[in-house]
Amino acid sequence: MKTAIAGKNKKTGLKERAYKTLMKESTAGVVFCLPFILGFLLFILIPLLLSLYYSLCKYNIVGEARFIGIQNYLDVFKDDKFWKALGVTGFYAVVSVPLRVLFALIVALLLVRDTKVTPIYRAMYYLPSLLGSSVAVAILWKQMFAYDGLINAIFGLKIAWLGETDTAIWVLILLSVWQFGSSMLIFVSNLKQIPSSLYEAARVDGANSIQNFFRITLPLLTPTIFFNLVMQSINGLMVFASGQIITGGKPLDSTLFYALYMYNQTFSYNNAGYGSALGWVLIVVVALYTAILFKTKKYWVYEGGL
Amino acid sequence: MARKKRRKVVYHILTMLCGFIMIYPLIWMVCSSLKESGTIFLTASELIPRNITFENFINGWQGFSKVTFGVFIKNTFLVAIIAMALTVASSALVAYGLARLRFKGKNLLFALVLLTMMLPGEIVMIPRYLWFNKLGWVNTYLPMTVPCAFAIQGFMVYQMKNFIEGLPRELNEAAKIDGCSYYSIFTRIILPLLKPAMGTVAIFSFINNWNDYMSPLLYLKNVPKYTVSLALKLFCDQSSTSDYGAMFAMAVVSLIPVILIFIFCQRYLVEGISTQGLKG
Amino acid sequence: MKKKLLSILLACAMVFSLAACGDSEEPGGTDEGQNQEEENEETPEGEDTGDGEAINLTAAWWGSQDRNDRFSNAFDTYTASNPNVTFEFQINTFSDHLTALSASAASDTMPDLAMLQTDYLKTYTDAGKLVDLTPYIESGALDLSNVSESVISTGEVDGAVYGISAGNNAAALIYNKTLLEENDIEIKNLMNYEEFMDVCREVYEKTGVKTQFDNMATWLEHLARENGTPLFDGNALGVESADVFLPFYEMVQTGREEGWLIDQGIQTSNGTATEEQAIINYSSPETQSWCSFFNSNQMVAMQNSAPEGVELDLVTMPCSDPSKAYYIRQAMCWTISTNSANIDEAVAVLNWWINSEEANGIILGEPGVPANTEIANYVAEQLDEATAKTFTFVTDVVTSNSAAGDPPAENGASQVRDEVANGICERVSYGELSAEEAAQEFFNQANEIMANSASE
Repeated sequence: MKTAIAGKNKKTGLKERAYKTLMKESTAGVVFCLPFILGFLLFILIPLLLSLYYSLCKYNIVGEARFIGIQNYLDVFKDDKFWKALGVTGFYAVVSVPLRVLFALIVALLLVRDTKVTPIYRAMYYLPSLLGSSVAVAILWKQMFAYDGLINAIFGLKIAWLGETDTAIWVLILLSVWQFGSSMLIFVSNLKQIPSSLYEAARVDGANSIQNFFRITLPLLTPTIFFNLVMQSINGLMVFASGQIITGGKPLDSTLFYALYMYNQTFSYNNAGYGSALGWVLIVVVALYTAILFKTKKYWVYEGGL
Repeated sequence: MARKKRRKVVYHILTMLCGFIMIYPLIWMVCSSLKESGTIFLTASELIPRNITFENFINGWQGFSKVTFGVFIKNTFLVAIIAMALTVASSALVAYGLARLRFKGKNLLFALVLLTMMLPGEIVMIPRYLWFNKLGWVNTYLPMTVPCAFAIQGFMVYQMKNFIEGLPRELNEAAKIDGCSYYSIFTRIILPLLKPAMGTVAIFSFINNWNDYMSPLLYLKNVPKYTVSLALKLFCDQSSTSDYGAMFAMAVVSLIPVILIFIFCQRYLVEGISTQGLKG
Repeated sequence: MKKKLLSILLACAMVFSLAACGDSEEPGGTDEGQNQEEENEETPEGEDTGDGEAINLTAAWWGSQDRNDRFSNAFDTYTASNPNVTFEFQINTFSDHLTALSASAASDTMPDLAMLQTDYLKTYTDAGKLVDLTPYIESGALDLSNVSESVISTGEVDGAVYGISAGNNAAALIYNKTLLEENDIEIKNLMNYEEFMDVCREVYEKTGVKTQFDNMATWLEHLARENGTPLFDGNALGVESADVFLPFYEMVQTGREEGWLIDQGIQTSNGTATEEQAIINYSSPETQSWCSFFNSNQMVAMQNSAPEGVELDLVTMPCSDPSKAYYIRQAMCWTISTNSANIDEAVAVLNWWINSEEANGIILGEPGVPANTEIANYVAEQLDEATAKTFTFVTDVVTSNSAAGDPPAENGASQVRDEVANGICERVSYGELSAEEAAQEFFNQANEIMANSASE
């Protein structure tokens, strides 16, 4: 009997202590982050390590993986198509991302004022982005730029947009620029947070709206511009669907996106080991690119901005 | 005054015109879906169909091997809604932890969140597939939904974290003095204020899942389980004939839910997005 | 609060499911799959499945809506006569089909019945994923008595049969009959390259309509076979010298120089789907091609999407010695996976596919001429005009002017056919490569890829 009571006491003591620990800030932090910690281990880290292992193997998905050391990585750098794909993707990201951010900013400036019809305007400009990289949009785009497609019909042109090495990539860039909606929304919400008192003070000083833009709006927006650039660049370097469905990398590999090449190697040609190696190289490239962007931050991003 | 009015008119005309150009391709798609399938590309430059026909919608709706398009829509809805709810819930938890609580390893965790944004999906596709297969999840919707309960979409967590950081800290302190635990601060104070950001994340997540194509392709193994994007692709097999009329018609149908969601949640989209340090 | 609870619950569920799986997360865990597979192979008779036992089979293929309807209707009639057997279908476009299939092969969850092209057979048989059908053929469970030996052999790997033709076809030159008749231009079967180029020139002079090349790998394969070697031989090309491929590239180059070759930009931007081809999808002579090179069964789909009043027909692809170059090919073949729980029943389904009048009366030669000659004759009476033409082509023209096909090539062949053959021809059409350079380039690249993909 006695021992039972003692046991009970001990139990409540434990409970209390557990409760106290649970209430501590450091514990609470871990508890709140637990989903991510588990998720990262289960759905990201393990697959990632597996893919690292596969990148050191000859692996055709269907059969067994056979360890071959760093051979795949050596092959990557000797592979002309790798360099081609890297170049194409780099060009795509470097051109389309700034354009996309620029358009988003311009339209956001247009749509920041609240009139009755503004929600409708916003919907109009955001609609293309809603469709994302869906199959339907890719096919729509392909048909618009077909030789007998909408664009040639409207402008009376005879250009095989998707068949010429110097135009095909621009068609895909245009698609990316067309979908500037999410960046635009981020700009709109930030523009709204700029206190109107700043503009009033400037008006008292006799500044016109162009000066306002360059002296107040733009500096305050630089952190948002930076955020958009980083996010869009990452997405840009990983672009896949539009290349796969619209051009399939043609003509002459002029739209062979890196992720597409990786996918083809993995699934179409059953070189999953090589595909994984390509993937790891891409991770390094994305990380480097992001790091470089962050390095430039101190030169043009206004720290006190929104 | 007159000048101001003129500027206003110019503004509206300009915005409307550009907006029209933006959505012209979509209008074209809608109109094309009403044309006879054989004439879509012959009359590409004409917007208004010569004969309006619903044949494409009827053909498309029939779907494949006796599974109608309605089934695909139902499946996609199921996946997208569950995934959306889980994403919102888990991202909110993690975002709060990262934004407001101090604990060991927080910076590392945040770096990992950022890392998930930088991972090309294709690289973990095969390992993840094999892994889910071990769990017996292939040919179920689990691979598309369960991971969402673990906040592994960095972008969503990042958005919410920024939003929470923008909320005034004083509320926190006041609540703490009142004896609230960190858990009840989250449920009583943060959650109600977090609604706009949750709305934003909900929309992004819904749209992502609605359009997702690779996971259904890998994981769903029979037609009655297919989702909309998989079914749409089936209309245009490169190695045999494609029915573009039906494809466009069903593409239009598949856009309706996305557009509806957008219209109802538009408000949140602007309010809910926020970068660091606002109202500071 | 509810949401938080939900996510915690889910987290617990996850942890539980993980615990249940033990240490299966290690890559080495795949060994288990291998063992199971071997067990399966040792008992080719599979489990004993009594009549009443409910069996569910999954069948996977790629293709058009028309094919999907016909196939699923055909499978339904099988269920009607064998009520215990039901089917599930896994339908995708061609490239997606391959993606999904390799993923499921990796995890031993392949569909019981899967359609493949012979180029891909080797990858799967090497990994032991496909059932050797030879014992079933010998026991009579799979009755191939009316299927010609040369057709069976194209599904053979190392003397064992793995793939059964879902329909036979042959490479073809599909042409716009209406256009040629209107302009009194003659065309015939068994043309050689010179005769073919004369037709191209004549069409171009009289109408301005151009010529588009396709099916590049087949042109090259024909050249190799005329040379007495298969295109692929083990982990290399069969031919000894790049010169073998020269005639094809010279033809393309000549076409480019003389102007009758379609603009490559237009060809590329059209895409690769059958109804996007310049033979039926054009707005002016510049964008039109009088011919197209596809497999014979694909003419039906093309005819269906051709402009009104345009009739298509088909003849053999030009080559200097058809009796060496040509062969009857399997448009696609059915395979059975080793992870199937009902291999016997799957074999029964294949047997029915090959030998049943009922099944083929619904399929009606959509994937090509039925491999069973008697069934082919039975079906031939019920065909529409376009399909009938393709049947006559395969059974009358090609059968008497062909040699046996080559055994399935090694892993890597699909990349050569798909990426290298098309890519290099594209470069010739754009004027980036001369014929000699192209032949050499193809020879080098193809050999390199084949050597690289050698599995051991």
